[in-house]
Amino acid sequence: MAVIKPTLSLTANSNTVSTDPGPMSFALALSVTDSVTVDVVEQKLITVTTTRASILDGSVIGGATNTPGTVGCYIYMKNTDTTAGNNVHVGIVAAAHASSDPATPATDGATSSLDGTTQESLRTFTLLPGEFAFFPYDYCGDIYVESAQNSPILEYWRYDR
Amino acid sequence: MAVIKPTLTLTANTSAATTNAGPLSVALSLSATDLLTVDNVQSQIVTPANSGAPTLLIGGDTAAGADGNDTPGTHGGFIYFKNTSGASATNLIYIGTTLQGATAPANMGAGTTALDHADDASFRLITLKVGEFAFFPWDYMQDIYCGASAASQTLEYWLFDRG
Repeated sequence: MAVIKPTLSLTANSNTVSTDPGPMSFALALSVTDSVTVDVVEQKLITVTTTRASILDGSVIGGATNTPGTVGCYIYMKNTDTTAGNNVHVGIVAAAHASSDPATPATDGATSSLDGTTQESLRTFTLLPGEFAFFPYDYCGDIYVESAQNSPILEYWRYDR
Repeated sequence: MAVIKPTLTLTANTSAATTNAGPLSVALSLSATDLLTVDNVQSQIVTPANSGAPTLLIGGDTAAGADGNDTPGTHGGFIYFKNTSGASATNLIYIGTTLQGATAPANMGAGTTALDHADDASFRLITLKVGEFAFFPWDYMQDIYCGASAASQTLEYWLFDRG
């Protein structure tokens, strides 16, 4: 098996400094590193448009049996755009949140759409230009993306456990 | 407004390396950093339930400060999770979501939507092995639940609210 080594640092100045003050009265220096075992690697530069698109079908990749800690992957995403407003909406959607809830985000204009501004939206997070995410994912559901405007490029890496 | 600076690096040796061989024929060195404007900070080390009802970690509506505060890119925060449990290959932390106020995942070990259920109907999004971590933005659209595979495990989380 192969190994990758993710490292995250989260730093902030104290709130009293004049340049880039932090959110707390003390400086923050949080750091974590790990070595994780992976096999398949998938990388894409995805042109995200204002039309919702599926970028990961959990049942196709992971199958129906999703043993926790065994079946899954590590996902890295980054909005590589640099223009303010060219945001990427990401929906990590469970098979169905409840019997009455949709498992697929609606197209724009409906409450479950990824750009929705009410709690019925299936949007999980928004990546502003330059923002990134790194997280394990267990393939229980699907991942959808859509842009707020224009066609930002989303860098996407998937490292299968 | 205040600023935090996250930096992520992902490295791997080539597949030919004799120690910690990587998954590719080339070495990997991926790095990303950003400056994020934030205001409120929330942090806690919790002991998730390993039986019965899963632990409601953060309610989306509460974090957002009420319904209507759901504008993409404006309302939301940045989440950091780490499984800080003692070393054990079986100490798993499960993290899943439901829509705000929707029915919680089924009790641990009971039902297909349970966070520990080995089925794609589970509400689980993430499994964190001991020492594993996650960092991602979150738009407060869902309620976040957690559970554990054994008693007395710990999950550290930080939530930085977008400023």
